[in-house]
Amino acid sequence: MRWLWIDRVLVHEPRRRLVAIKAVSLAEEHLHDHFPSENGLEPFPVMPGCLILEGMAQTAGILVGAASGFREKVVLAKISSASLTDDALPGMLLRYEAIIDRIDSTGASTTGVVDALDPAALAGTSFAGTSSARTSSAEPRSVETAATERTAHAAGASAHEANAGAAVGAVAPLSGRDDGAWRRIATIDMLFSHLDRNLSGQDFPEENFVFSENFRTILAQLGVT
Amino acid sequence: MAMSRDEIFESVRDVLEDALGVDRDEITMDASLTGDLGAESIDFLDIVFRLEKKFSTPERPFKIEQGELFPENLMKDPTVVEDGRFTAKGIAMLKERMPHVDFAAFEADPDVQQLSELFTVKSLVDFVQRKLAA
Repeated sequence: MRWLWIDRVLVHEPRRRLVAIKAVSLAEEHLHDHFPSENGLEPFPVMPGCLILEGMAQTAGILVGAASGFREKVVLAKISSASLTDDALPGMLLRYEAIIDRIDSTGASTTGVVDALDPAALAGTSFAGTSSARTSSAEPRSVETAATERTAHAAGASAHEANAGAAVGAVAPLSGRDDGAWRRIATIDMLFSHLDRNLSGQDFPEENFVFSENFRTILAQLGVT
Repeated sequence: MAMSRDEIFESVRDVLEDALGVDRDEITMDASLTGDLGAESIDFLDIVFRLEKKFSTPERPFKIEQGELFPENLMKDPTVVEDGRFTAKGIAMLKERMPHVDFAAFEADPDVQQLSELFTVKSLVDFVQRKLAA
């Protein structure tokens, strides 16, 4: 499996909307060259903008492809507009949301946004873990303190669930509402063409080489096999 | 209220400015979409989508059918195109389907490759005006 720039699909509303997640990792080799330590400057690993665009092309492309049951060869024809306003750093989660603006048998246009979740923004919440492992080996505490801590822990856990809920269930609509820790880093509109119905009259192979094996893992999460 | 021809022209300019990324002053009535403004086949789809959006109102959607503005699925029909040139039947078909395009000069040399050159900004303005009046 290769060239997959989304890791998980969270929401699929057929013919309307798809939400996908990408986890940016320092294990991605290109980050070591983008940008390396140079001229006395610190290295600055950051996800290249073109790959953020690729992630949106895959998110929106799956949405458009699913609309025809993956019978059409859906290809990115045009980036209608793209505005990248902030960096995607290792350790961040990116959330891609694509919405079909218009679709017919020749192609589709989509609008989309990318939001980033920086775990550093969640320091102090249960997302950042607790220090209970260390404190448990310390002096025995009074029952009362332990109980208070349990309550705090429970509160933390429910905050965590609420966070997860925000990410999975109530994903921000395109209106631009920035829920909690998610921050908008890009707005990308695209145009997709159904290759076999192109206006130039060119012929392509019968086999659907666009939605090949590469996409099966992702598509399986959608319940599409 | 009905749009004037000038208003339609300005709206068509908005569409082409966004779809083709060209300067507004390059978008004159006589400019051809492919030759002068650099449009490629995929841009035609984009232009159709954008025209629909631009001229649709809540009361009246502006829906462009496939093949209504730009010809489609004609090239592979041997009675329409022969040896890379439109036949008399083909030209008659084009004229009937696309009253917004001026085929006068094309008739003398109906080379398929030249067809896209016929699509000018004026032909788009005519198309929209005709359709809004219908």
